[in-house]
Amino acid sequence: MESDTSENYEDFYTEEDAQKHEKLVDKVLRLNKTQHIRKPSRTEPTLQISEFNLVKSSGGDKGSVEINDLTKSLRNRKSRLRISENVKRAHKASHTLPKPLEKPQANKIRRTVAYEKTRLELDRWEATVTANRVSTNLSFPLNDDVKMDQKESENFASMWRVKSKLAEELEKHEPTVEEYHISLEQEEFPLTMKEMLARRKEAAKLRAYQGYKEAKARRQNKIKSKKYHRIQKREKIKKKLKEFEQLQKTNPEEALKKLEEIEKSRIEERFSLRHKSTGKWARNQQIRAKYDKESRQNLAQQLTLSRDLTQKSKTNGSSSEEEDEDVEKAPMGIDETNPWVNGVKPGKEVADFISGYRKYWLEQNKTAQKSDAEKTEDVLENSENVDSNLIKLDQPESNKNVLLKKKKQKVVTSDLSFDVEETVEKLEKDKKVPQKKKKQKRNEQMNNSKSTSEWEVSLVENGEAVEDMFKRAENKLKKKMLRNVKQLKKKLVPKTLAKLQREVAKDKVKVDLSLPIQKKTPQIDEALIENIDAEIRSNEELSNLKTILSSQTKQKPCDIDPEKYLKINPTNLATAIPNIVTNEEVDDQRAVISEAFEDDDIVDEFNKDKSNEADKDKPKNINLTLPGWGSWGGTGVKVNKRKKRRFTLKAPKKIPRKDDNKGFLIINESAQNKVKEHMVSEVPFPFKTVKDFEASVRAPISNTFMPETAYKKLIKPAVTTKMGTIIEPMSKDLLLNKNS
Amino acid sequence: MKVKVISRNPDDYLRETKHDIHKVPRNYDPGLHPFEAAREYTRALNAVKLEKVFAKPFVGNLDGHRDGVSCISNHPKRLSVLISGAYDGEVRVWDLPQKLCLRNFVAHEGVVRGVIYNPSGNHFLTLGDDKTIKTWKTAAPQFGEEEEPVNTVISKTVLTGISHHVKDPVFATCGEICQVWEETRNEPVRTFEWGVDSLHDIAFNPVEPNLLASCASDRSIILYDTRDSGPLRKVVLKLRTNKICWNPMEAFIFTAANEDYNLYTFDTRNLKKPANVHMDHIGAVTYVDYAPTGREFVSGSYDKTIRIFETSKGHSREVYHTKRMQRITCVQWSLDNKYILNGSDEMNIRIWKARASEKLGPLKPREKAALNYSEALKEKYAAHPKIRRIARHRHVPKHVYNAQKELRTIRDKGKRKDANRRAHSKPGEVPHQPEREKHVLKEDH
Repeated sequence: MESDTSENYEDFYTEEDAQKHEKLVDKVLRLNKTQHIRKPSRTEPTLQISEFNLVKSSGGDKGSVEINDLTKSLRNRKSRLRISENVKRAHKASHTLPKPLEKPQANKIRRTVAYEKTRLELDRWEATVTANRVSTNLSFPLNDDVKMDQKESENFASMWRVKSKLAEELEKHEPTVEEYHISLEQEEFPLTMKEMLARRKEAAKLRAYQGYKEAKARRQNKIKSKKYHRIQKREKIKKKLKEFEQLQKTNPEEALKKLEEIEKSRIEERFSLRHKSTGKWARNQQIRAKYDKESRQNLAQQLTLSRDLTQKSKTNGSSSEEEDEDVEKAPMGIDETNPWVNGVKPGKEVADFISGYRKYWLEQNKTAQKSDAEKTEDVLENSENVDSNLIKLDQPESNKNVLLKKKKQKVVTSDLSFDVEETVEKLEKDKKVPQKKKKQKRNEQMNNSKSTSEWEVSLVENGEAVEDMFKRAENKLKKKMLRNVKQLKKKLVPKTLAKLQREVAKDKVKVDLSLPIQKKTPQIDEALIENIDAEIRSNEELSNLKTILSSQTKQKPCDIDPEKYLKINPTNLATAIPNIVTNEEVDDQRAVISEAFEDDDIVDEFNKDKSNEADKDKPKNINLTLPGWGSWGGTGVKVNKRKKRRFTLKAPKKIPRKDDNKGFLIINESAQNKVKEHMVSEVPFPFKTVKDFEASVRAPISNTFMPETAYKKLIKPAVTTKMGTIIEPMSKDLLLNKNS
Repeated sequence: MKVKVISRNPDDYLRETKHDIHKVPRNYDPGLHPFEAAREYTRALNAVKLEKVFAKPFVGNLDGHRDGVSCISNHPKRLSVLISGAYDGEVRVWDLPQKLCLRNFVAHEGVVRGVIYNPSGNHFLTLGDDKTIKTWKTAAPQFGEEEEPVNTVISKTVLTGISHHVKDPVFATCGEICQVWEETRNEPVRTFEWGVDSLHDIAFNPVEPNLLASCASDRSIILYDTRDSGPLRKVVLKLRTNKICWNPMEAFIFTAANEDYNLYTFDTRNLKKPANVHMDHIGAVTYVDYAPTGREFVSGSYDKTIRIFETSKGHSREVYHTKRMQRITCVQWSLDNKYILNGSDEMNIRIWKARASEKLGPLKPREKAALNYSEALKEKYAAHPKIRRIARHRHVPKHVYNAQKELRTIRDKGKRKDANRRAHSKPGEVPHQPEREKHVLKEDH
């Protein structure tokens, strides 16, 4: 009602009146000294709505209408009751959306995501760009051949066919039209309705399957039953083992890799704290162990596990009989290894229990062994007709008593533990023992001792020798296997290493398409030698002198020349006569020689020559006096002595020479100056060795020394363009992998 | 009895027609040619000398403007047409081979800030200080007709630069903000804002046309995506970037002409540091344009020189200057990779050869082969000091020479100081900073 009246009221007002009214209201409000923050109001429809001016609702929080209020009115009718219920349920299930992020922050996130996306998009070009950069000759425009090559392929085959007369005639009547087919995406037929439906069905199926899988996974994750998980684990392990064995046969390389993986996981577990019995669970068990049998067993199992893990894998092979027995049996053999015995002495009840338990298990074992033996005997009887040499494989000398030894080599990983039940099962199942043995043998040759349950049949005389023999055989086998493995590894490791390195490199750089440089030429990346015309072409002599002056060594030449005197080294002849040379004799000889060459002094002569040569190379003083400059000039006018002295550039008196201390040797230093200026002083960029560079220079490219074809290849320019053709920017047709 | 007779195939020594060159049998046994390397070296030396003899890059100039040339643009479909705008608002259309002005009219009040053809070449857009974008027909008006723009858009903001999409009728302008327009509309389709700083150049990526780069007065280069996300990333350099150009053959590479005398080539995927730093200018670099092959680019500078750089190298391979050429305002590489055009402060547009000693016009096959051979020789012996000296020697004006000398001493001083500091402090305290890592201040997300 109120709003109605106000509207009417407004109608009567003119604009001026409205303004007046506003002013009046303002004034009235100002009377009251508290400042009112006016509610923002929207007046005009605008494109940009400021978030600060949003009007919440007319009545504030109190006036807002909630959905429950609306549904209340529906209660009156029974038919609508359901609606209100549904609304309520929906209301309960729905969550309030989280508050949107602050604008700058949201923008930042958006930008980062968008940038990453763009980066990936640009990565697609990497291959094309690298190919272009590396290629030794590119012909622009690049796109041309892409468009062209498709035309020819159409009629290519028909070009070779000899046409019959009839065909020629027909052609005359009906000239063929050249057809150019350029496959475009638009030309491809769209899917028919049926196909589309089928495709959609397929997609729906896939989605349903995915959903089902997800649901299953979720359900399975929720299962808490330990037994279930144990069974699952066992199954998984079985599967893995089977796969592994298969791999051993088909792909030993892969198997080795897998083995390494297994080893690695074992190592990881070894240095992790799992199975160390330090966790919460273990502590709880510890407390319970006193009263609870099961928890004791659990603990023991855990401990054996940890022991296995903490041992190095090589000791694995020598696992004792105890270990091969099921984990459940483990407690009976603990005496020394039982940590609870080591650290804290168990109470009497516990000890009693253990002893009882032990007795029970000993009995059990005996019976089990007996039954085992019986079973194996049966088996062997069955398989008597099989080759005897197969049985002899391991122990050929013995064939009297048949004793079956059950042996199980401990599996490497923690989770690869097997039960006796299983092995027994196998035994029962497998009536063809020899065959199995054969298979096993093969396995062993291929791989190491880390395979799972294995059987050995041995024929022995008495029980004591059995173990010895068994051990010997085992050792032998192990050695053999180790050797095999080593050999295999030797073969494989370098390969795998290289692969690993490659993988690492892949990880490091996202796209590494670096190719070797196809044509090596020196790359010179240095500033231009930029000069000005007016630059003084400096007098070479002067510059030489200056450099010499600046680099002149302060080293003083020796005053005493030790070479001044001819030295004669005594030569010892290989004679039987005792070599008794006195100093006097030497002096005599010298005197004789000097007497002989009294007139021509070779040494002095040579020295003179040498000094002459040195003088020749020595820079001379340069007289820079300008006659007539600052004084009178002309004929007969002498240049001032002082001036002369002042303007002469003095050459250094002594310049170090290469042959300075070389005795009887004169080195002509200027001889190779002419060649030197043409020689390269350092190896240019892409080359790494002098040899490489020299080889590149030595190989000629001209057609004077090379056949024409080679010459043409060698002189191909890096970039060729077509005259008067516009080179357009690269288009997406050239993208090598368009789909990714 | 066995008789050995010399028998030769006449094809080996007889020519098919009298126009053929005589076939000279030749033994290529390297043992017979002991001076191979020496002879080739001499040839290389001669080739490089001849190159210098023929190095006459200046082709001609177009004069007619009455004020400094502010911007030029190539026709996307025709090689012979060029369009230029000047500081007095005048726009001229040129016929390059004849060096004639075909058309001139005053398009804007104040400076013409940008001229650009649309991809089809039917229209061109001009953009001026009077905040208008005008579209003109390429065809000259008939006799008696007035020069009138086809369309005029009055912008709300100041406009400083324009760039056109390679194919679509979409263009982008910059000024206070970055705006994307469609040719048929009078309002910007999209506007992008990041920060408050004004933008002075913008460039569409020609290969991935949804990418835009612009440079702002806060010394930054901003990348945009025109599709939906808007701004992508910002790189702040030590000094302002004047001009940006994308490599037309490598989608992710762009080069920025910087106020600090250098040019920086960036890989869009890794903006932390430039992929290459190109030095040699001795004044602020005002303009950069890529060769259509994407192998080289040309830059114009406030130091009155034009330099040509190879993309993979840090130093220029060529420097162009003339006595009368003043500050360079704009440079363009012609679309056939043969010429370089530049406008400068002193009202002229100059035409240069992209390769100074290249022979223009059609070549006979033998001539071409000979040129290729000498080119290969120069490449092979490039490291030899004599050849290197001749090939790399350039004459530069005095002011450039002196400024260069000064710069060199400044750089040396910096290096010496660093070395001294390194020598007198704990090892590792003063790390060696590569040149490429010196110039980028930060990368904003």
